[in-house]
Amino acid sequence: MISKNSSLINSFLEDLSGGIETLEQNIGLLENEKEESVLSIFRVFHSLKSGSRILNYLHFSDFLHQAENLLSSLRSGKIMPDRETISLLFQTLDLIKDFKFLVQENYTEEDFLSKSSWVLRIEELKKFFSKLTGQQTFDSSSKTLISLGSHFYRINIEFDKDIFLTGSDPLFYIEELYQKTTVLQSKTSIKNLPLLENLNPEKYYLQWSILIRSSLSKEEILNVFQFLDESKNKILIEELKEDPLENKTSTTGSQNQDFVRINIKKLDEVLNLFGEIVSGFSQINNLLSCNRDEKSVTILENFSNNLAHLQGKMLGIRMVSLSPLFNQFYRFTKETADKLGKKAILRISGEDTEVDKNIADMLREPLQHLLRNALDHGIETPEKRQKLGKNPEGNVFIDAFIRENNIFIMISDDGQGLNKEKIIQKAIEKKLVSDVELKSLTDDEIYQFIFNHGFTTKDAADELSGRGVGMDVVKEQIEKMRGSISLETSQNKGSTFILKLPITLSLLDIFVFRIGREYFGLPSFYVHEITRLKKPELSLIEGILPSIVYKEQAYPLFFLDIFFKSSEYESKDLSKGLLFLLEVEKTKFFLFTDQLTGQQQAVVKQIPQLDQFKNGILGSSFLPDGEILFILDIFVLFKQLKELRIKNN
Amino acid sequence: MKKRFINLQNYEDDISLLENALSLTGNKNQLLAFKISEMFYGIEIKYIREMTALKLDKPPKKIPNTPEEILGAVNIRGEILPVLDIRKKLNLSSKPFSKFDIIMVIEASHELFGIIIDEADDMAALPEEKIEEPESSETQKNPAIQFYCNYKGKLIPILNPHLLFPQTDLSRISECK
Repeated sequence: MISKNSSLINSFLEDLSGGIETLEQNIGLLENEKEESVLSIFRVFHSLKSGSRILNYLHFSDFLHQAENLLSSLRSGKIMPDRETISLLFQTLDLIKDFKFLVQENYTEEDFLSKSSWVLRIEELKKFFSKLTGQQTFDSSSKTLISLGSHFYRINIEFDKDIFLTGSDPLFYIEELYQKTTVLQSKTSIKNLPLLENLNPEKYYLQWSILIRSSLSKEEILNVFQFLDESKNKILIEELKEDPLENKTSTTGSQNQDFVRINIKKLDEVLNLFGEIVSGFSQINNLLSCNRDEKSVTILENFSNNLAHLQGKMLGIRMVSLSPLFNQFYRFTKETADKLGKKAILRISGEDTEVDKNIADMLREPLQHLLRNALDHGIETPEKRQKLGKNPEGNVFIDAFIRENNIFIMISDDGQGLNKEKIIQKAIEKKLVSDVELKSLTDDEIYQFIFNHGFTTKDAADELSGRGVGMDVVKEQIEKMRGSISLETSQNKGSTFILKLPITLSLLDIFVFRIGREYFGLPSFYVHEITRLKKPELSLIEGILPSIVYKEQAYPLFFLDIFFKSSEYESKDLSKGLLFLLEVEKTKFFLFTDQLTGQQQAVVKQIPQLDQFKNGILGSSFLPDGEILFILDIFVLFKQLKELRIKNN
Repeated sequence: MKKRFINLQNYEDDISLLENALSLTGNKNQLLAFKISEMFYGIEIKYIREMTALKLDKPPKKIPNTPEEILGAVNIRGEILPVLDIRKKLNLSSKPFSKFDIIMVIEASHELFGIIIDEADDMAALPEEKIEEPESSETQKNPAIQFYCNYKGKLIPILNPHLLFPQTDLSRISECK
């Protein structure tokens, strides 16, 4: 049975995932970029239709055929991409997603048909299709589509050189092909054509290569040639999986590029080995650093340049564009706004920004959350907006850009902004702050309360948001990616949440410092300043905790041996060592080290086995001599610092 | 199917043994017997990802704030793995790290780690009957030992790979049992 052929199934599943992605991108764009989106969606339906037919999912291929008709009507302008149509397409997308899931679960055609809820769902959608397309279900365009057939063949014909002597005419067969099938392309080859002086006018020299599309089977097409002597005429019919011409145009298009799906694990292994080669090379380089002549210097330099390039390329493999992620939010915004009885348009920019695959995956949830909040808490109801003199339709923006090796993603709305009074009220209710403390807080610090666990200003929880599990989770997720979140808000003008993230999780810019004989890495992301103080001014913050006054500000001072008991400083004389001013969650503090030994781009390896110990190690990398280097987890240090503060209080 | 690597320079006997093991890859019911401090132990082959003699000039790099039994981290082809000294867990006297120690990489409960052994001995079929504990057991039951089994006429303890790596979260241990 064909349906058991696993490679076919796998390639179909890949088609499905690719198709789902394209649909997600394009359905939301239908209103704005109709032509192109209609075409993309049509292509997806079409290729999935033939795929499911090949694998014997006939009911589904039939369903997709109707979906295709809907697209034909959209294309010809018979129907418009209004809300109803778009919601129907989204439902179709959902159905395709479920279909993919069930195919993965080895569902056969019979399994599908025996599931009444499934059949009902399909019938329901089909009803809508025919309602929308009206009688157009069988309009001319779809009719030609049926007679066009869904099989593609490439036919190579090498006629007998003496074919004229047998009384046949090659052209007869070609014409018959034209009559019985749709010829997409025909080419003749003059490879066998002799020079003019050797040409025998009674012989036939041409070879044909013809691409056809037909509903006929291979045997039926072979029947066209049944009167030819098989031993003398070579006729080769090859069935093609998909429209070879359509494929060609899509590869030249900017949207659809050729992709190879790679298991991320395999990629990581390659990256690991590559890291080994780099460190091996730098060891060799170190060994050869004395007595080297000019020639070997050049060779080594070239080699090292190439390695650096290669590293860039390799890391680039992991990078993906944000657009598939962002494009999903069109639908999300629409549906969420509808549920909330609000009107809002999502405007996306910077979607071509590339980030590490891991980051793109991890961003989905927090972004979704922020969008939902913007729609629920930010954007006002259409009536209220009108009263305020705003456009009843609100705007939600997602913007992404890269600055100084960080990616910034901003989610903003033109709604009512955060309600400072309400936040204060809740903060007091939840005993997060006392009346006295409140007076010394800046606006910024007040807004930070929304990142507290269980904080919501909504009076009653509803289906969408307001349950108070929210901003704290968002913050946690962002920090997991070694990023930070901040916000700006202004009454009646809206709020903006700003996410700052590293471009990649696997490559980290670090400072390497030394404490005694041990080396540690420190992500430069958090390093605000590195300084040496000749006459450090020590004071005690809150009584006991040591702190240093720097530029007229007192910052807590942290010694690593408080946390890493095995570490021993060479000297604890503050004027001898080097101070790192770190910034975490808008709090700055000093970390004391013996010496700064370097700065490098490190390929970071997580050691998940050790996560449970919360030992303050974020991951590991290698020093140029191949030695393992541990990279500090600033958040763990920061928490330690906070605990010390609480203890001392 | 996971690939098992062999990286035993100059350990001729062990190589032939492991080639044997390679040919048996996929046969889950095998165990490998090995020696730590002259004592025989066994572990089910399916948990062994590879064995390697790294010939390190210095002991594995100590990882701050981790239990003592974690000797440190080593670099195996670009992958950084924690390495355990399980002697203490097995009530054996400790021995300093030597360059000739073999690291057996174990994959259990989705985690990779190495344990240090002296030498690999041989493969054997895993008997169907698992002996809970020898009658003459002098000490109390060691959780790191799953069961005992007959090997070359002796009763040897078979290690429970899930309970070798130190855990802070106790709920996970019961899960693995």
